[in-house]
Amino acid sequence: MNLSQIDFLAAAAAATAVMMCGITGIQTQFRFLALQTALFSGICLLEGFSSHGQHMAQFIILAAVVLIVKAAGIPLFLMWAANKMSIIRDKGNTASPPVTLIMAFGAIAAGYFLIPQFAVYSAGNPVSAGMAVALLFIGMIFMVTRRLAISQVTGFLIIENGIFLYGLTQAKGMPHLVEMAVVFEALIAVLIAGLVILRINRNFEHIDVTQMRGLRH
Amino acid sequence: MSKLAFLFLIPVIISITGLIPQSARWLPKFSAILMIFQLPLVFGICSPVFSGVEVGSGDFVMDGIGAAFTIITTIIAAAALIQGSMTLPAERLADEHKMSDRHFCLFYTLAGLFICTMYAVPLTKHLGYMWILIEGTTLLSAPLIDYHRSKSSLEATWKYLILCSVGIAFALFGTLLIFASQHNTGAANSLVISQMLENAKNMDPRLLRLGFVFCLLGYGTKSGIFPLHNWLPDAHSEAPSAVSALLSGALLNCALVAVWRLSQLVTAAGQGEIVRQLLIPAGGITVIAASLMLISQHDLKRMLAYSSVEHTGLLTIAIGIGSGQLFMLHAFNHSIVKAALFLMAGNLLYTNGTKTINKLSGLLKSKPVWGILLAAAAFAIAGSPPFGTFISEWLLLKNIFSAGETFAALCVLIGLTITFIAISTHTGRVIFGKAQEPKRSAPVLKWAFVPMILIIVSFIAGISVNPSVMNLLTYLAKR
Amino acid sequence: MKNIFPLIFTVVNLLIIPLLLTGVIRKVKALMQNRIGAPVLQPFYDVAKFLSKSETISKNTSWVFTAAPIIGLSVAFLAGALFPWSGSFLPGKFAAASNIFLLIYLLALGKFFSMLAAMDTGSAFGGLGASREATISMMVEPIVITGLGALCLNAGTPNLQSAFAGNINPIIAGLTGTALIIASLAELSRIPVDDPTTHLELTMVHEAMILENSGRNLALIEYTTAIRSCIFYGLTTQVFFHMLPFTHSMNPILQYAAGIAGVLLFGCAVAFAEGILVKLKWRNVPNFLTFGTVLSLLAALIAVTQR
Repeated sequence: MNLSQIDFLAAAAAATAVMMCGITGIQTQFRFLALQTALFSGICLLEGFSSHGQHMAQFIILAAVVLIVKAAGIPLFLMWAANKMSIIRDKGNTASPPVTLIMAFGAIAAGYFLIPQFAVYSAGNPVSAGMAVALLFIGMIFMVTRRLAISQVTGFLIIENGIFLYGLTQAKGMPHLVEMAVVFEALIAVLIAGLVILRINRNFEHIDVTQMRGLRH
Repeated sequence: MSKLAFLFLIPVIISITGLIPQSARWLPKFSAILMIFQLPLVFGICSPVFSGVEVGSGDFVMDGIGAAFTIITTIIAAAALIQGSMTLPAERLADEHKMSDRHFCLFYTLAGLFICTMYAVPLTKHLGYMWILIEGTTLLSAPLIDYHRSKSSLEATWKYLILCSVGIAFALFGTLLIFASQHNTGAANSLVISQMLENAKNMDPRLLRLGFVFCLLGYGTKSGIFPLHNWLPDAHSEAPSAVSALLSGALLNCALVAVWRLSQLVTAAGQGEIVRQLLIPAGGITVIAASLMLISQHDLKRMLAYSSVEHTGLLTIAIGIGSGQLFMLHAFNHSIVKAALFLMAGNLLYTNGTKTINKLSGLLKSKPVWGILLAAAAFAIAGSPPFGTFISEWLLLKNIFSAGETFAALCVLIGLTITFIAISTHTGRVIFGKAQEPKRSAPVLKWAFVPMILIIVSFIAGISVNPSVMNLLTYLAKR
Repeated sequence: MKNIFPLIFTVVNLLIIPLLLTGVIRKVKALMQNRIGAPVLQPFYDVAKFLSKSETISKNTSWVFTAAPIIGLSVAFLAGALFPWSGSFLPGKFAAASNIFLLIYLLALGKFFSMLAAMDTGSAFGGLGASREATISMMVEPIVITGLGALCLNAGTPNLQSAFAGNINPIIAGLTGTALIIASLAELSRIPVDDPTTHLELTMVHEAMILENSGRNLALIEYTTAIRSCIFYGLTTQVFFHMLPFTHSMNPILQYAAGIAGVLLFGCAVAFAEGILVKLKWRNVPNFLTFGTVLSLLAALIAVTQR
């Protein structure tokens, strides 16, 4: 089986997500996140080309929105927030980064073997479906194994990226209005989460979610 | 312009007024008066639906279920904002970190928008918009929870925001899968439910079933199905009581309406089996788990929150057996009583300065009116006659048995029994016993007015359910 | 005639290139630090000097200590002879034996003996160094085996000679190559895993292990290390060469020259990286190496799925 260009970019995005699981430096994580999202913008353009010019303009607009909002705007905002709270690294919580890395690899393998369940073969690029599912799993792993609140936002964005990938490559003809709305919804969610994190940092003097256990009864 | 737009008029006015920071002094009363006008307005808009005419056009149409949940949302929102006009400013003054005027007005802006999105969810016939709106409810209500600006409320807000966002993200994935499952129907893929129903028979069952599972995960998180309910007790107990009432009485219903719509679609596609197989056990386990967790509660509002989890389980079973009429009826009864209880709990929290059950004892001696109301409401939520919840729970149990779901029926029976004992014990400790010295004073009768009305409504609902009402509901659910 | 040229090339290669590589790395590193540095041929003079010196051997050692450097060198030399320094260019019967498992475990055998020798001296540093070296090897081996395994699975043969003679999937080659870079940094005790120039006992790994050696023994060990570097860099270079589609249709002599040039360039790159990187904390080494493992695993996944 040969990978198409779209599948290759999807697999590369999933690989960046795996690498993110092993990185402890917060700023590096956001750079990888930006890279990963930029790859989706590329997939968006390729989809536009493969639609033979029918919806070219829409795809270009979507790609531009993704690039500006998700690949540039959100990581920059998160970097700013992390700088403001002077957070440097997140060493992980339940599992150490090496274990997380191997788990993330397992997620990719699982995604690959789930292709028959999730792929829409008439849409082409079945590997992208598996990689989308893998991104979903990796995002979950990332959220569960990290310690800081801001990393949970990163994990959420990985999950969002996986869903976006699925929508782009498998759910052909998804109304672009809905996809745009999803992008902006993610932006607003991250902004609100960022503000809440800043408040948490001010009130608790840390953003370690494992230390926030006032409400467990 | 569609008549439905008038639904949003008053909440939008409240939102816009909230943008003026100078309005902090009169905004609560202003919004309460507006919400009183909202009640007849909504009944006016909904009335054609009861005679079989759908209101609205395009992607937003009010059908039977839509009308029922619009009315529930309106009643809860009106109750919350009217009671809020008395309690919210008082709570604000009593808070350690007093909220600024600007933030207080912004609270009303968000509350107005929150009510708008909750109105829109049952009306929309477009799965994409439905997802956007439900995510919107999460984003708009998260700041409302953080009203008291304390550490614990911040923690609850964070938990709510992150868990529900992730859950809803899964629902988006499910929506995409359902969208993609139409790839070989011949018609263009669509997210509009009516168009999807036309092609339902040809949908790819593999993707449709997966899509339903993911949607259930997502919307189930939002409605608090066990074991995805983690955020619910925290958010409900830390929010100001008016917001708790809104969350429990209206928001949980929104997510369940989404599940209902999807289950209708999946059943129409000939996959009704998976709906039953997933929803009925999930509901049964939720009921049992919530009732067991109810036993060990020390906190009045957390106890009420777990009771909401339990009722979510019951509603899930109602959806699972495909009974729209019981879904509506029980949602109505539960919302009304739960809102009354949360508002009462808010009053107690304000006067006694604590939610801990042990420190709230002797209510009947110190404030007999509140004591009697709380007792009535607790009986109602535990499902005893003559209140509406009794009727709907009893009908539900009957239908579960006649649907042949013995396991779920047993779960519900055991769960309801444990719940009854747990709630009556906990509430009994609040009502009886040695009277506590109140920390702050509050106008007893004035603050008891709204919960009293709600309990009377529940009482009327309990005695007025007869076959003709059930026929009307069945007729509405089929539409 | 046909077989004699490759043999000569291989022997010359193994005699000259390893120590030259060491010299180049030291020179580039010195230049990075704004020093003039020793001449490029200094490692040759060093080895000659060590060979002419007498050695000090602890009374407590057994035959293992004196035998280990000789075993190490001969094993490394054999591995070097088996390694295809260019696409399809290996002397006669060696080609058939150029098996990845043989190659990697020959190198592991040499390492095993050097660890034994380090512990044989009974000095505290020897044991410490050997234990650390063993830990690192334990984490490096999966990277190398999985990565090269993926490569060979893709080529359909465990023979490196035949694997490098054909076309390799560029994605697999890229992933394996990157994993091998990480593996070689750790295996050859370079920054960021170990610092080859340090003599601070707390941080050194490889140097701690050979602290007791002197004279002839030390010369052999230095030479062995140089050959091992050469083999690992050569492996990485070959893998990366095969990402490029035109390499395996090139003239054998050109291929050979490109392979050698690649090794030397790789050495320069490593020296450059050493100039700008810092050594990792010992606790963070597993984290760094797991990146390599995951890259090889990804390569293996692609190889498995493409069969």
